[in-house]
This record gives sequence, C-alpha cells and structure tokens, in this order.
Amino acid sequence: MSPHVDPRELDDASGEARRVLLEHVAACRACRAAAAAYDPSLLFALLALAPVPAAVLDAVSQDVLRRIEPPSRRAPLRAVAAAAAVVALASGVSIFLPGFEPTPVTPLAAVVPRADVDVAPGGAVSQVVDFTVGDTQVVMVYNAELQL
Amino acid sequence: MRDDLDLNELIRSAARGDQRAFEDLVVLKRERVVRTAFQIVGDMEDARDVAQGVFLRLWRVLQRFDLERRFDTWLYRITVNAAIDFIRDRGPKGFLQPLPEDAGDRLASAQPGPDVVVDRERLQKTFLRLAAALAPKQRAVFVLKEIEGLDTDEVARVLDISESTVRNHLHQARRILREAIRREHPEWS
Repeated sequence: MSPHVDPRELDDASGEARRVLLEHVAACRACRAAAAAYDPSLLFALLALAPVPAAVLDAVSQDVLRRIEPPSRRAPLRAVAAAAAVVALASGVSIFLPGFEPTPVTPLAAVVPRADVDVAPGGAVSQVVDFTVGDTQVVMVYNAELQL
Repeated sequence: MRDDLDLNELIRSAARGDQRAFEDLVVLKRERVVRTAFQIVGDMEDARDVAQGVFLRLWRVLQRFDLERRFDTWLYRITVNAAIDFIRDRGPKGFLQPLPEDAGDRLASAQPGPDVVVDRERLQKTFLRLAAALAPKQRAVFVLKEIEGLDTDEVARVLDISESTVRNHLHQARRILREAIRREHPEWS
C-alpha cells in the first residue's frame, strides 16, 4: 500500500475517513502536489482542519444563552389564558378586551351571576371560535400575548 | 465523544426546556455551525451572527425534532438556509460580494507545522475570494461536500435537492474554482 494519498481516494471519501486522509495531505508536500495536479480545488478541503477561534465559539454560546428564555414560562400562560376564556364565556362570564368586539353571547340564564374578567390585550391578533353545544354557547378567544 | 444515545438524551432534555442541556448541545455543535456559516458567508462576524440565529431558532423548534432522523443533517439544513438567506439579503441577485484580501485572516490556522499554517491561511483567503464567484447553492454544496466532508446523499438531504443536482452543483463549483486557481495561481498546479 502506498504511503501517499491518491487524490481520487480523497475525492471519494467522507466523514472521519476523509479527515484522516486530509491530515496526511496537510502534512505531506508530495500529496498536496498530487492533489493540486489532479484538481487544485481539492486543496480547499484542507480548510476542514482549520479550527474556529475559541473566542468566537465562546461568544456564540454566551450570546445565545443570554437570549433564550425557558419555554415553560410562556407556553402555559397562553394555555391558561385560552382555557380561562373558554370557561368564562361558557359560563356566561363576559371578557372585555379593549379594541376587540366578540360575537354577542346569548345570556344562558339569569341564575348565572355575571362577572367581569379584566384582560390586558396583547400585541397579537385575537382568533375567535364561536359555537353552540346544546344550550351552551362556547366562545374561545386565542391570543398568543394574552395576559390574564 | 458522545454517541447517538447521549446526543438523543441531550436533545430530549433541551427540548423539554433544560437550559443546561441546551448549553451542552450548543457547545457540542457550535464549531461545525460557525465553520459552515463562515465558509458560506465569508466573514467571521457575520458567521457569528448567523450561528446565533441558528441556535436561537433551534431552541424554539427543537421539540419538533424527530429523534429517528439524523440531528446533524437537520442542523446543517438550518445553518445553510440561514447562511444563504443572509447572503441573499446582503448581496445583489443572490450572489456574494467579493471579499477583501485579508478576509481569511480571522479563521485561525491549525497545527501542525509552520509551513502548513502559512499555506492554510493563504488557502482560506484564496477560497473566500474565488468562491465569491459561485452561486449560493453551488457554494453551499461545495462547502458541505468538500470542506465538511458529507456524502452526496446527505448533502442532498440537507439542501432538499436530488443527488444528481448535488453532483451538478459540485461539478460547476469545482470547474469555476479550478479555472480561477489555474488562472490566478498557476504555481499551485
């Protein structure tokens, strides 16, 4: 077996096998010359061995970790807001969203005391689903930014 | 070195919102992401921005990742798409801008041996300058296949194109680079 790397072998290799060949080519002038003679663009494969500066890598980690937030902090709030809206409206409770006019809800019964829930409007568009089950009218309001 | 089981556990934990696990995942994959982005966008500061965007997106969508699939392929896809979007936003008609002569200086050179270090710095500068002539997809294929060392079928999965299209892009990219090297650096070959 030749101690030198056949450029066609390098051309066909991938993954770790390719890396081993590249490390040899990087250190072997004869193999670099052979690769250049075969196809000089093959020499750019040696860039795989160049490490990225540690300062750049650390900066990426720090910036990313500073900007992420726990997903559990926001998602359940949305679910709570939407669920509360459903329960409240199904029970005949009205929700007042400034700038938002829901479909009028038929009062279910005078026996159900009315109550008001204050909801701070979010920046996102509200989606409304309105349907009736038996004698109960259900209005679902979904707003990703809803804060109860 | 982590095996696939470790990686899957890390992904599962990070997807559940475990920030420590996500930090480990970032450390494990950041060099690959930055290097790929750098070779496509051609500037280390821009590559850093692209990499940050990639990992922030990863944090948001990780829970959708199917553990039956190969994570690296998925991550390469997010990275390459982000890098191509970046250069399309930056350059006219989707092509890269020529880079300054010293653009490659910010990629560190590696061991071993001073002559290799010198060669590699020159090699990096030359690649960044000549690759500016490639279309973004051609450049992405060249970087994934030749520098990242992916198989043709994995490059096809990353870019969501056929293997024959990968081979065609690679053929064109290598022809353009080969002709440029022979024109500008006849001493190489």
